[in-house]
Amino acid sequence: MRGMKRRLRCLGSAGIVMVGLSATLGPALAQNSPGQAGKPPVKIAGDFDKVKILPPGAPTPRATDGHPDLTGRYYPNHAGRMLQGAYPIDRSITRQYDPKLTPQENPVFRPDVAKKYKEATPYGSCPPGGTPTSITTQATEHGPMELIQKPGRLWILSEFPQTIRMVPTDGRPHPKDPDVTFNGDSVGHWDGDTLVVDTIAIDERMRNISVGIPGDAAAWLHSDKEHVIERFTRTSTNYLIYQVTVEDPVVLVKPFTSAPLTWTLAQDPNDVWTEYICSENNEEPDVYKKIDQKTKDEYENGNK
Amino acid sequence: MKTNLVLFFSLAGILAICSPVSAHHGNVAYDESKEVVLKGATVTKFAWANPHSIITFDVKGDKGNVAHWAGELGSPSALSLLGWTKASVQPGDVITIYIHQSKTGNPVGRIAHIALADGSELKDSSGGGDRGDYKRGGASNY
Repeated sequence: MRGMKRRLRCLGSAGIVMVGLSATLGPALAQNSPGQAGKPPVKIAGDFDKVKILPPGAPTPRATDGHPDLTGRYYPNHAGRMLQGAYPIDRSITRQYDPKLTPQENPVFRPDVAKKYKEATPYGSCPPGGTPTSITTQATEHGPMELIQKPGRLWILSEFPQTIRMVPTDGRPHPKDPDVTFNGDSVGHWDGDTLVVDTIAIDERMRNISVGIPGDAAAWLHSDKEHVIERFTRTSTNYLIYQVTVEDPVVLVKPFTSAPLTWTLAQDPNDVWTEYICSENNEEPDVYKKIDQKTKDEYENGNK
Repeated sequence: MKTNLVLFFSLAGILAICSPVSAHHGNVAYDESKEVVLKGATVTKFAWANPHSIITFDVKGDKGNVAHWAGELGSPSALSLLGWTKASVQPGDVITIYIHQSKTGNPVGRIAHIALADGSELKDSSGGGDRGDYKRGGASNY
């Protein structure tokens, strides 16, 4: 039985590569493997050939208090499902914003401190995400974010790094002297149909990843003066727009504001949480010991 | 079937050059310009793990010496979409591994794809890497 499954995979793989090749070199993503003459198209693992831009769907759902209901499980793309780099997919589907329509300026660092704060995630490490990284890092990790909204409360769950944030939305202010934590102290309020989440007291060891230039190599640290403002707007049932502003007068010349970033509602009712606790590879240190310091440095300094 | 496999290997080689290759930790440590083919690799461990799954395996050299390799793959959530399971490879399995080796020449790298004993293939999750990386272009959501 196992052998049969493997043979089926083999047939699938041959077709997969052919489709991948045509999509890589050709103008459009192939819908089916061209296969061999007279043979039916073969299934692509993960159905990456069927990925398309999700329609808006029904109007924005409302909670009993009249505010938009943000509750849902979202992916950082236009497809309403997890994507990855295994197969070429049109950029209009994978990207969270179109730089021609909504250009995004990169963070502008104060020259005197830029070297200190622009620090890539160390090679092979798996720190917690922090705010807003637990959301923004999905730009490269392709993981989902799940929002659970109740009157006066919003829970923000991120799969990688596995993160739970609880945001009071009942109008309370920040505590006078909040404890410093990885995720910081967040409070939310509604600005029209947009939920604005305000966060302070984020542990200074937490890097901003994919806040500006995407990827771990372009990560940057922040000061204790950092202030993060996130805006969540559900524009329709299938679409959520996330926009983040980072203020940090110690590190940045001016506040950084991202482009409005598109997230889409997971369409598969069987799309469930995958445990993604990033520590298991710490049990495989031999892998990382084999990478010499020179190449680690190259990685960590790649975007400086 | 043989024709399929020959086609697969040929195209996979081209793909290795064309596709974005990426990883959570970045892949600059690995030489993405070529795939090293390791035939007769004996699996010693398959860590189905985050952020990267890892296969450790032994490869016998021409003089009978044994090299102990370690190859990274994507996360379980990413590999699952491509047909992998925690039981896809098991200690003792003898397989062929196509890998982007460390630039240092050490026996470590990012696996591109593997061929199991019966000839079937399993592909890594980013044509190459894990879930994408801006530095490689094309895989991030921006």
